[in-house]
Amino acid sequence: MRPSACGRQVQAMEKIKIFQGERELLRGIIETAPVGIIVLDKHRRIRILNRMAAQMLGISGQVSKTSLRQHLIKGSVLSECLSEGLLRKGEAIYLEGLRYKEYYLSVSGRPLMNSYLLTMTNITTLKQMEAQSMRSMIQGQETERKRLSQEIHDGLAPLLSTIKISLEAIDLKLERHPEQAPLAEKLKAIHELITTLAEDMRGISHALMPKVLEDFGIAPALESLCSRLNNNEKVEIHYYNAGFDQRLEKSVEWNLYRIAQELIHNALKHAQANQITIQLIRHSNTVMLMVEDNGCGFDWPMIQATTPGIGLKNIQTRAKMIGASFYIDTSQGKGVTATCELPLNQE
Amino acid sequence: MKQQKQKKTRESPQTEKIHILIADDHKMFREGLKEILGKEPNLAIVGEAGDGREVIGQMGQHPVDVVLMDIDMPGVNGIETTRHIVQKHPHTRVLVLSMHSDAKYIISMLEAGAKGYVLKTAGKEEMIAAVNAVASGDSYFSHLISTRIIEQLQHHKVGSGIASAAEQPPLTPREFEVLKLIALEYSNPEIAQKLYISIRTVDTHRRNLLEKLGVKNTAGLVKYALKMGLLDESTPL
Repeated sequence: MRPSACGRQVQAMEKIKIFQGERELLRGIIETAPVGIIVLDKHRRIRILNRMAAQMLGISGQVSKTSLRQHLIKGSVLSECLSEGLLRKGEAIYLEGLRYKEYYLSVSGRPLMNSYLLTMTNITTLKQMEAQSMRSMIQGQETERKRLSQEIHDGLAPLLSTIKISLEAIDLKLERHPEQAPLAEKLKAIHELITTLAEDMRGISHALMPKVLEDFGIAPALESLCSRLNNNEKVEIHYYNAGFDQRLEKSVEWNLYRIAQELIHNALKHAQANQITIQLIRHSNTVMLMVEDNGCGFDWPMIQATTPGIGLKNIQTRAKMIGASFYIDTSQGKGVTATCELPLNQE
Repeated sequence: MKQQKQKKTRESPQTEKIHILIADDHKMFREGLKEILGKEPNLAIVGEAGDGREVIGQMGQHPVDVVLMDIDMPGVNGIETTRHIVQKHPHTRVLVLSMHSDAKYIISMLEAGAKGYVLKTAGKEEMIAAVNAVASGDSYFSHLISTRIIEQLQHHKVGSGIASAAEQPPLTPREFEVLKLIALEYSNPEIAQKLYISIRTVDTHRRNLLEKLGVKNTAGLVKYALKMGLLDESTPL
């Protein structure tokens, strides 16, 4: 009897050892996992918080059995999302690309038996890469647009002017031969086609990269853009310039111009506005671009929380690239007021 | 004797002719232009140049009545060349022949001293008419160009603000609304609610108003609103 009892004891001891070993292993895995892991107990107090989670949230020291929220920045989106009530209800959550301190985090949470399991991934590098590729895309686009515009402006446009003037010369010769009237008539038609073609081409070249922007800067370029649109579109576009006519760094001028162009485009195409006001206002050490329209507006917080349209993302990236602040004020049915303010280098 | 006579007959009408110099960096375009203008009995092409430097070099060599001037030329462009001609050869008139219809190019060329501006899309009749007008002391502008000039004048009348610091930049209708509400003692949140914009935007309008009107504070804004009669009962919001 005894040996077998002893054997059972030994067996139990062995089992405990194995179990302890397993626990250590598991703890080790959790502690060194490349994702942030937090387990909250049934009272929603911290039971496990691994190294990665501590690093992402900037938490140090003994946190066991304390409330998670007390360690989070008050008022941060993460803190709001992890409200006690929400956690107590035990609903699953998934938050992508949350900004917390210097990180972008993806957080998912779900109940696990009596506890609540939170896992966090640091997607900062991914976000940075995304931003970088957006910047590169924009820069590449600009270079290419500029090249195409130059190609048209310096290569094709003069060629067309030359063709046109050569036709005029032929026309002059035909005038002396009344029997060639039908030919002259055909020539006239060709002439008109070439005029249209030249005008279209100038429009394309201007849209790609207006020469006036390169030669005279942002203020004349915006004025020219508005007068072109006033001629071509069924909208009233008013341009106001309050004291700004200085030249800026070339890339800053491009980006500011594209922001204005994109905002106008949005107002025309998506908001169906029929009145647009564009202002360039000189402040003591900034310049402000303000674009207002009376179109249908949109639900900005909603769009921002999900994924802003490529146009708006583009504007935000461009504003960031030139160190400008960008603010959009809109709601359904109330038009849009967009403001982009650029600090000026004081000389 | 015969040769001399021939030379004379060629010379005498030439003194009546308008002497033209063509400045354009595209040779083919110059050729076409020469062919068209050369057919006109009262016009004579006396020179051609591919850039501003060449134009300036040729100007001293023979009398020129009209320079047909392109703007985009390598090196010294049309604007600088025009400035030079107007200064050094006051009897020569510059007629711009360009594909640019943007206001700034027109203004720059007029400021430089050009007497006329024709778009390259113009037909031969228009080009000939322009050369004749400019040579006789008038000015000539293509239809689109005069439209742009008028736009500029009207724009500057309401004051785009750069021309003179004394001139006050114009306010937008929205700014008038905000100004009126400020003068009526509405707070920023109240204005925001009334105009369906955010408080931040109201604040931006307020900042812009201070800047545009050149006043320091709300009192200055109210004073301006009173002066403009914005608070009169009849002024619609």
